[in-house]
Amino acid sequence: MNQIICHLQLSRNNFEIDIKLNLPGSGVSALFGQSGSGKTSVLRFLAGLEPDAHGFIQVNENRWHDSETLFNLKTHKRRVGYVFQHAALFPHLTVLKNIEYGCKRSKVQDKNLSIENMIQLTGLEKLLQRYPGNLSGGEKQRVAIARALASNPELLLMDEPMASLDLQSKEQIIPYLEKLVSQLDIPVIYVSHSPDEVVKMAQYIAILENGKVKASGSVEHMAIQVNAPSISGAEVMIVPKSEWLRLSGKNCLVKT
Amino acid sequence: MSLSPADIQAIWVTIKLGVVTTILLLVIATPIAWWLSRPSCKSSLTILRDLISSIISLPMVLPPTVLGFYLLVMMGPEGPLGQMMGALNLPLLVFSFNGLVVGSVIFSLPLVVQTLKNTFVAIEQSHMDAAATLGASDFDRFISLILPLSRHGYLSAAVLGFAHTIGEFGVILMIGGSIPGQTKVISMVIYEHVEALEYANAHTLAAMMLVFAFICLFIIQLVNKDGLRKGGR
Repeated sequence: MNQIICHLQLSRNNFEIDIKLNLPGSGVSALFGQSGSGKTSVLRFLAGLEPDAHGFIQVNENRWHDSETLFNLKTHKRRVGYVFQHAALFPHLTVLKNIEYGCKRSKVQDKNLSIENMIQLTGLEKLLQRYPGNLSGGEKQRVAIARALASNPELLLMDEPMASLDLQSKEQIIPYLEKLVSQLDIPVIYVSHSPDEVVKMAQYIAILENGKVKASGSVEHMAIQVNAPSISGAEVMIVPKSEWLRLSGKNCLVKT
Repeated sequence: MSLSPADIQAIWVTIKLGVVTTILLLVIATPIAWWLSRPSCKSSLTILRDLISSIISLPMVLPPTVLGFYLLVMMGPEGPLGQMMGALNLPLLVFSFNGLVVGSVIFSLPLVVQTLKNTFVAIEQSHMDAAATLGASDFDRFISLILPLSRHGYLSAAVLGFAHTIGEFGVILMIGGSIPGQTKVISMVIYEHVEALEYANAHTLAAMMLVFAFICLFIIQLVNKDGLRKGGR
């Protein structure tokens, strides 16, 4: 069975991260946790952007990192798509050139991930000649998603792609994301501290806390405990269903 | 107020020196400035950076005659550089155009390194990371990302390096020898005109230098303003 195995050990400013994850090799897996729980470090490690980290990474059949044998595949050789929190679009290139950047450097060409297909799926047809400086937050993230996918990745990493967006932009993006995920056969690791995003997007959840995996499992086995009226409030928590059953149950939300 | 053939020859030597030095400066300063601009977690590397940065900045605070004196000693037949040139069967650098180029590069290096470093610091790490995840190697990222994002910085660095080289006097006085067609540059000719009380000739060349320096600074102002407006660096 296809799997994404990631074992990360990292020590930084007296903060120890020791995270072992076995994620499904398809569908959307969410890393959920508060700021500082180690979510972004996992993504950066998977992308090869944490040079001081120790551990092991295997994405389906391909080994990307193994500290024991001193093996480390360089970032540009990993077929990884990374959507950053603040889009990180290249300011000197138009929307089209941004999307073409990764595609031109990709050795593999998948018809489903062609530039034309990505532009259509993310609804960017009318923005192609614009520069990133003239785009809204939501538009920027759509370009970032199209750019990451057009590079034909084996694994797509999304680091809180909606954290910096207002509610309107979020609502604008979610349908595109859902459409992409359902139409493309690429495993996605989605980092978020927002339970409503996680519930909408993910089939598998790993809950991180203080640099450790607190719980993990498919979303059917998880429940969301809601302590506040709004499910996007700060007091919202996702907990394993087994734990939830022992809780009061009143304020819990299960994915339907 | 006309220029003599000797003046025109000096102008030509000066421009040649400026162009060659500026090209070398940009090539040498780029890796140094990039290395100095990247943050490091390791304290030993930080100290090494500070040390290298201080050594490169020395010509900014040293009197040019002191720098010129040490270069003269090093390039002379008994100096390490002179001996190395002798061992390689190459002509001595002292009192030659090539020697002026070496002196000018060292003299203007801090200015160009500092300008490029400020440009590189402003490049966001997330852009570099994004390019790497999109399959761009280190060299590819330099060509496709760093160069275009720092084009304003390169233009400023080139203009500053060129102007600084053209206006240099102390180092050239020490290592040049004022040989017509080889090491006699405009600043040396002005000095000689003044010594010979040929004030009219000195005026012509001095006014040219003044206008040139003003144009250079004005260009840098325009470049910086344009860079800020467009969000480039």
